[in-house]
Amino acid sequence: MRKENLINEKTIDYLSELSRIKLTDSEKKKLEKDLNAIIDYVNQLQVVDALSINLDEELLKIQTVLEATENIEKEQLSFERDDLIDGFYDRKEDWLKIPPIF
Amino acid sequence: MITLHELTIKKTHSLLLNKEISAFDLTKEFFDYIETKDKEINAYRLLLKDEALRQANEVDKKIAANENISFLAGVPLAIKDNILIKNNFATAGSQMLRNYRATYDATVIQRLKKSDAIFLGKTNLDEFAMGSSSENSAFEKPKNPLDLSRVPGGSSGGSAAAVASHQAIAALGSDTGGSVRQPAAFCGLVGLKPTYGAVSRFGLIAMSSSLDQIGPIAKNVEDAALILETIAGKDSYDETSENFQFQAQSIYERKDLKGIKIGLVKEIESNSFEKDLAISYQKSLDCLKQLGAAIEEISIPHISLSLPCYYVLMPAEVSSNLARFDGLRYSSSEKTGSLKDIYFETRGEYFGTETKRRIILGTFVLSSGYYDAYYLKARLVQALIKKEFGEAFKKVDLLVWPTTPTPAFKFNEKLNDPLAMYLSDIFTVPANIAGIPAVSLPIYGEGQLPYGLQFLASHFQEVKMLNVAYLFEQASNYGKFL
Repeated sequence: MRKENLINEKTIDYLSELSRIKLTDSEKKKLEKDLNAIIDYVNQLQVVDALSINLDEELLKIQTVLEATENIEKEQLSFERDDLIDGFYDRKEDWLKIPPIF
Repeated sequence: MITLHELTIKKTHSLLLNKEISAFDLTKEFFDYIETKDKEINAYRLLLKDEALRQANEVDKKIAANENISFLAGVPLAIKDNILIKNNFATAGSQMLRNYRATYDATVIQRLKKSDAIFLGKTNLDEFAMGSSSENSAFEKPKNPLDLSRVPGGSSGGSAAAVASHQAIAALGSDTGGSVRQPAAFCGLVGLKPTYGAVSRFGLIAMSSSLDQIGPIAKNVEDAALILETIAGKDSYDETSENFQFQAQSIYERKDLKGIKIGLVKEIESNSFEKDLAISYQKSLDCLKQLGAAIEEISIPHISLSLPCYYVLMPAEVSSNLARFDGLRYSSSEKTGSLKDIYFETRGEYFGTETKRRIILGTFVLSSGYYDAYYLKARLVQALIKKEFGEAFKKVDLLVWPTTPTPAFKFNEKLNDPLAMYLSDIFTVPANIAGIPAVSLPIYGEGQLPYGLQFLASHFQEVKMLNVAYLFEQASNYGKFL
């Protein structure tokens, strides 16, 4: 019996909603096919018995390899407030103005 | 009249010091050349002519005043368009950022500016650095200067194409899964991915923060080392950066490879290489032996899981990093309606196919019910692979294998088959998963197109790695560009 695909039309709709991306019907079809192929490929990971690995322990082993320096020259960052605000959708004085949420 | 294709960083430095050419004239000559040449190559997204000529003028003043100048002073470079240069556009190859202007300099840019390097322009790339051919650029698609019907590789394809077509002396790229090394290999250049943490990522538009590293693409190992020296080191704006000091001069310390152990990973089956790659690879190993290296076989049992591991971790980080592009900041969207409408419409229209694919995939592997099976599992496998690399470097100094399974492929060959495109990263991704440094050098079989030979070392062992790479480069005599 052919095994059922993990990702179907409903999953794509749900993921589109979660990631806030509008998708066309043809995009959805292609994504469903592509994602199933990719998931099929990454399923190789399932063969590893991960119980032997303690991630917390591994993370603790990661130490700063090099000695930290006390006095790192802090480069001064100069932002122009208006440069940042220029990229805003809309502004009210120095605030980012957005459509009402409710 | 000087010949641009003969220029390396050191050569340019001595021409400038000896006043055989001024930085201004040199920069101007590059722009004149770019004006015609880039019509066929498409390496550049944006040229920074006025600023570059002004920078060059400053260098000339310093030379005239007999001030000390760095090796990079007056050297024209190309910068990948996902690295911020203050007040200039930074698109990351995406329609989403088509109007975005950087409000600050990336740390690497600040350091290069301090060294008086010249920025000729910003180069084309796969959207948000996601791709292996640069075909995912929302703008111009760069071509491989060695064969215009082929891709230059990706995602730093524009940077590699610029250097290979002599439209820049060297370039900066970024490497998350091979994006510096693979295009360097496809274009016959040297590509260096430093250890994770060796170079600050501040001001690099983030794709996958735990894997991204900025690195140079250059004509030879020496030039790559000079750029690394300038950009490396701790940065208070990037908490993952380390106090790594690198001296380019140190790559000349060793005169041969006696006492150096180079490991061949048995899980990378060299008898499965295509014929021309097998020929060039064997020639390279012979060369290393002649230099005195001891070559031995070692095992990294789970290395083949690096790529599946990467295609879970990377999209997961992509999905969260790219959540910030909402149409409300970083240049505004013209979409209207409710807040949710603006999000959906903007992200639906201005993200390209591959970007959407990776965000959706990343959202999936992080979603409730699948997190443990995919994301957590991949993190565990990553820890395992790191451990195995650690064991390997207890036995050998360096590892070596090819950079890519094939030379540059044709346009559209893999564009509609994402998995085939992903598999072209199979030899580059392990270094990112393990966080170790890797450098790709051009090697040739019997055909015209180059392959890449990759050296990999343990964390922060760039000196040893580049020393070996330098000796190999001298002995194999592939300095084709010079």
